Amino acid sequence: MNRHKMKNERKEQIDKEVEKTLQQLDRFERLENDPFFYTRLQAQLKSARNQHVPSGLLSFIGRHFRPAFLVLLLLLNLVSALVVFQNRNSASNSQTANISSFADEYSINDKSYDEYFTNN
Amino acid sequence: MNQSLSEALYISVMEDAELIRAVKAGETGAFQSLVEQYQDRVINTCYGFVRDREDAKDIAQEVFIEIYQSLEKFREEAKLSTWIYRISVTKSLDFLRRKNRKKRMGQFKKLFNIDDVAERIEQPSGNNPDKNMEARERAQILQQAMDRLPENQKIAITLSKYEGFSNKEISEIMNTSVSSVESLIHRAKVNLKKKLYRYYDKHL
Repeated sequence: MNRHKMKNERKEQIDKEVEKTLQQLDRFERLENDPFFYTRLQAQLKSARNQHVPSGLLSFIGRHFRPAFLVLLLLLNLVSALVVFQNRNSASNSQTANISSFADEYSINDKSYDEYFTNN
Repeated sequence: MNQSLSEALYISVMEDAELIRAVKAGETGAFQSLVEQYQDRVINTCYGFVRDREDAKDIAQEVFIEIYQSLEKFREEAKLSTWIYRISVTKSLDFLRRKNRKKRMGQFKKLFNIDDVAERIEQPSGNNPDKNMEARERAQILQQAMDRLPENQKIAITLSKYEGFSNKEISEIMNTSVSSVESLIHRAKVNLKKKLYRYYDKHL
């Protein structure tokens, strides 16, 4: 019974603290007027203007050249894929040519050898 | 002198559309008028999120630089004020994300004993304007709980409670419906209560 009472008292105490803290929401102290605000802003705007890259030009480049750049990138990829593919083909062709010239030189292609081995 | 004063007065009563046109046309004093009209609320909106006056002013400067640079692209689909506060919220949240990333990096460095002198220097607590020690402590506890809320709940409750935006204004800033904002604020309060209860249960 006593324990229950203590628990209730504690709950009440916490509720009171919570309410007191929540009251701070309605006691927001506003900041007073800053007489130098615009002067500081003017200085900041001036320095921002000096550093500012013409955004019109940037957005123009962004808008008009981005698709062109993408197309160029795609074309470059296609060309490089074609070059690689062609090189691979010509490399395998020259490899076949080398093998056949080697075979010719040592008469490996001569069918008489086949006959010799099958007969003996 | 008198002429410039009347010019400033004329500009100060300009409607949003006219103000935008004047700034775009580069009319003298138009941008200054826009800044003066919104600076107070922008700074305080940022302050609601970051809770540090110098950081809030720095972020507000970034907000107006962004406004100056992108006003050309502003299509007037939303109100000028909505657009400005939306930028303020985005910049504040970006700042908090960067700060949290830095903090995590610091913890990571500490874990591997990579010493960073700058990380060891603690922020002075004098940045918080609350004079009363207890109130300051409570504000810090509340802020920690707020920081752990889901982002959209945090935005809704910060704009509502700290900056006094109406639910309709918040819905425009967050690009959602009024009923969603109401639900976000309600859930934020429930979550805050739970988090604070757990905190005091541990620390009392």
